[in-house]
Amino acid sequence: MLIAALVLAFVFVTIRRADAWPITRYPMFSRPRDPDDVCVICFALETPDGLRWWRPHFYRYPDYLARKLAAGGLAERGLAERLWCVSEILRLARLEQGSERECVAVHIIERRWINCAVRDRTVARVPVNGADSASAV
Amino acid sequence: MEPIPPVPCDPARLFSILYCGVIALQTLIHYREQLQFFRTQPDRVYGQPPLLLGLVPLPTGNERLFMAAGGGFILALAAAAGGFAPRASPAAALACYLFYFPAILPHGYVMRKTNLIPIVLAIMIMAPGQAIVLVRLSLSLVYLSAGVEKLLASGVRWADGRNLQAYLLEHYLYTERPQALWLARRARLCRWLSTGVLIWELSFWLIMFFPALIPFYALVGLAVHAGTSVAMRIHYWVYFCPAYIVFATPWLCAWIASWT
Repeated sequence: MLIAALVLAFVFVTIRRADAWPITRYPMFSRPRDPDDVCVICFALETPDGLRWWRPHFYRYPDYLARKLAAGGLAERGLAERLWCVSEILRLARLEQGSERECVAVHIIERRWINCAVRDRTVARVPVNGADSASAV
Repeated sequence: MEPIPPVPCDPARLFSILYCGVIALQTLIHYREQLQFFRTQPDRVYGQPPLLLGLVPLPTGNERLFMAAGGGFILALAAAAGGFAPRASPAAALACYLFYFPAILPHGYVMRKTNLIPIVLAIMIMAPGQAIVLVRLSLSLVYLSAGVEKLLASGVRWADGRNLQAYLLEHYLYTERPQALWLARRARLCRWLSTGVLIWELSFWLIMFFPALIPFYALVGLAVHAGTSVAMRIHYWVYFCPAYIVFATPWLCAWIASWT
């Protein structure tokens, strides 16, 4: 009976395409992707010493925030969402041993893989003290 | 003097002891770090954790409850590993799991990787004697689900290697891990790996009917998880791979029996 319950539970979530945690689907890496069109959003912290990538210990945060921002196209995303992302980045950076202390701005950078090389393009620079400045974004 | 009778070794019992012991140890090792993650308030970024079975909300915001649930989880698993209250200990661990892990579900090595724990604990409570078969079935269903998802989303073209290349490049852009780029640049190897992984996932259930295949499927599985860990920072070692103990316990039992 337990065998039937296990099989039915997995069939149910797969067919319904909805999780019933902790019985879940495993859709990781299943969506079709093209290696010639890889583009991600990354975040960098600007300090008086220069620019460095925001790579916190809890490494899923940047991936998730970036995907959230990029979903549906970065250009279409509202200013409020960008500022929310930046405020969360600053909060998380502050929690991680004051790494936000000297941060003067957060850069939202689009990274592409073109002709076997990385191409970076700054989409927005958000000053830390003026994170509410619409013109900066 | 009468000879000492051989000690009977029950693979299901041995699996329960080893599995609970390893999960308890992993949680003990990572407890402090998981508390730090909890304190970052992941629900602010990720939203509320999922409902239990899609129906029941679970309390997750209280730090004391989180710490108590984590401590209880470790103690209950340690008790199960020590052979104390073989059904009540996994039941207590399962209850603690439901209050501990949802709060830190977005953590990199938690996510879906702990989903097997409550299933295995439920098996230990409801059918401890059938644990070997049922845990193998659960693993087979997880891999079958992953394979079916790939077919549903991308079709057989998923195996052409370009998907894997794209995901590796994406990881490289996020993390600049050279291993991801090294593999992404080898199109033929990506094609072979993609085809191999898809076939392996879709056919893993064969171990239920042909136990002789277990060493092959288990070793490939460990290699796949090692590869994703190195190239993509997807760490199944901590909470998912301990279920692989289920493949080793019959041999361990035979080995123990040969010494007693």
